[in-house]
Amino acid sequence: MATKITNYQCPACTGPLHFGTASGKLECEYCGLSFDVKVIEELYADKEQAAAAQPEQEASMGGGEWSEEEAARMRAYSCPSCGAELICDDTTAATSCPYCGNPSVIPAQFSGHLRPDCVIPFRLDKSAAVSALERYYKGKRFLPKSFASGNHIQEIKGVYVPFWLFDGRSDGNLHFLGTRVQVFRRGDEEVTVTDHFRVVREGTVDFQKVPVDGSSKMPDAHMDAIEPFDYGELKEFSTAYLPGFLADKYDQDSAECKDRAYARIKTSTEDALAATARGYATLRQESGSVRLQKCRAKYALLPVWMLATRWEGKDFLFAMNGQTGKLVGDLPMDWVKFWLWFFGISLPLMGLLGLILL
Amino acid sequence: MLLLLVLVFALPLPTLAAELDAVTDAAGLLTDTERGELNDRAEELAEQYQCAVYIVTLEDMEDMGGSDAYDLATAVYTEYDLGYGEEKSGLLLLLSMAERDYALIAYGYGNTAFTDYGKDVLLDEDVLPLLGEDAYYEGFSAYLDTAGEYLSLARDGKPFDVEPTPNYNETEGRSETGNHPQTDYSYKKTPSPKYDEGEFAIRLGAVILLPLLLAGGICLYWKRQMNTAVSARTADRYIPSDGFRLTGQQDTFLYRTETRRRIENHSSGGGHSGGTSVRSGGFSGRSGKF
Repeated sequence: MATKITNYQCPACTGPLHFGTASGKLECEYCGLSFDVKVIEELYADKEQAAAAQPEQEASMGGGEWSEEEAARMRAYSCPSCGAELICDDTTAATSCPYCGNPSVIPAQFSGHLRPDCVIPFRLDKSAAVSALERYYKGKRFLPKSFASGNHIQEIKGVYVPFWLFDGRSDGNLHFLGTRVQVFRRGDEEVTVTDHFRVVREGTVDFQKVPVDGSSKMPDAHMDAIEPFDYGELKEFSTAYLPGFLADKYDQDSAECKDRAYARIKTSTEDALAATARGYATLRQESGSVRLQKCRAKYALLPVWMLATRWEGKDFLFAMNGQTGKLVGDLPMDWVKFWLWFFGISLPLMGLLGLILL
Repeated sequence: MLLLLVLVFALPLPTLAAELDAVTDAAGLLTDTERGELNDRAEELAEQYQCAVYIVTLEDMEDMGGSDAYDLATAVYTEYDLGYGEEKSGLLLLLSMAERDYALIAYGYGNTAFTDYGKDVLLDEDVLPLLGEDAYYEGFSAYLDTAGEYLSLARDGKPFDVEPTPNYNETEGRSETGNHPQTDYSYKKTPSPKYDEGEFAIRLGAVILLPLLLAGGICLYWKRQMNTAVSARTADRYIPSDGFRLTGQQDTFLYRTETRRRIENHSSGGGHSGGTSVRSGGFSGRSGKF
């Protein structure tokens, strides 16, 4: 089987290179030298081109046990360092060999139109992520003990998640029904006078880089919740940022993701236009339209530290923004602890109040 | 009415004596014994409570030149200089048999002892039912009994009136709606509990509910922190500072609606607010038919 993945090797000692979050350069594990991304990129430009040109091969179906669907989604590669066979998802673009630990990049996933436009490199390294997660668990009073202690925190992974960043302008034309109310006293009656207005507002709102995650594997709620990313660090894409981390390519294209971006843009536009209708006691949207003009999408890889835990048959995902450190997660509830705390607070308070008031 | 009074003053009241006893029975409703006994009781009350109590019965008030029982009663009271002491305190019940009219008036301290509510109860519950059945001795006897009780209460500092104010209730530890003297009213100073029943229930409720609410609020807040993955609703943070441009606005007036609500006026008159309404002239009272 032809080699289709590249590891980045140190030009000095051929040791494996991984992307250093603190320095922003590619660092060698063995000799400690660090290299600029651009330098390594040029060095490997030819190699990548050659690798990308190779046609992909289907997974070998030894034994015929995999269903057609599953087989179609699997890819097999061979590790350039140790020759071991790596089987991964059809969207995996960067991974590490489970046998020799070498970080590897699959350039074919990023060839042609699949090449991301930009990337935000990881700023927080694994130890930062681990300690953030430990702190997150510590504060949670209702977390079952076995979850936190048995948790495989060290298995936390840094993943470049594929996102679509939408730029655009929305054009809103909204009709509201507004009322102004006056109340006063006339004789021995209370009179309420309500004036009804039709309020029309038109306007345009520009949006820049509204993110929508393009991977069906990543839950949208988690990805929304770790926003915002600091786009100031958005860099031109290069595979040299990937070693040491996992990366996926998108499996939901921009047309599919546009709907989710549109939903958010529409809500923002409606809110912005409604805010300009001031002085009304009530405002109700009757009709209107929000159209998206000039919509462009950029394909970007954004850094996320992730840990998926399976506990008592349910999946819990913890995600941390690899650039800003914002934590998001859902955790299981220990209801016994909940009720213990509930009565532990309420009963002494009852006793105290009883002494004071009774 | 002024004219009538002038007339009454002008003409000496022919059918009554020069001076009035406590009980004057010109209509002949009572036997001599009965009249005597009632008279003695009335005089006793007057001495005991420094407030005179009178009964006057007439065959026909027209003979006296009166056409309104109330006015005639006040005229009689004034003309005959009725009333105890300097304040001329007293209560007068006047009956006119021909029309079956009555009038009950009070003056001086009588106004204090016999409140509007008290007079209503005295007449409606104790006296008028008996008079209506022509049981005159019994009616007058009840009149004197009730008058005596009211005077006693008044002299104790608590004239018989409608439901007392809340302050009164709390300090005494009782909740009642007017102490009717006909019932066996035994007011004992038993050691009352610190709070009455209603207030205790409120305090107990607060002691139980407030900590529950507080604990619930705190625990729910902690619970919410356990699940922070929430989908985003808006894209507000992706709007650049000059990104919003309003290109058109139009506010068109459509129509006007008006709703009216009558404000409930809590009427101050009309019975159950306690006290006595004293009219000009110094008398309070009412009249009617028996």
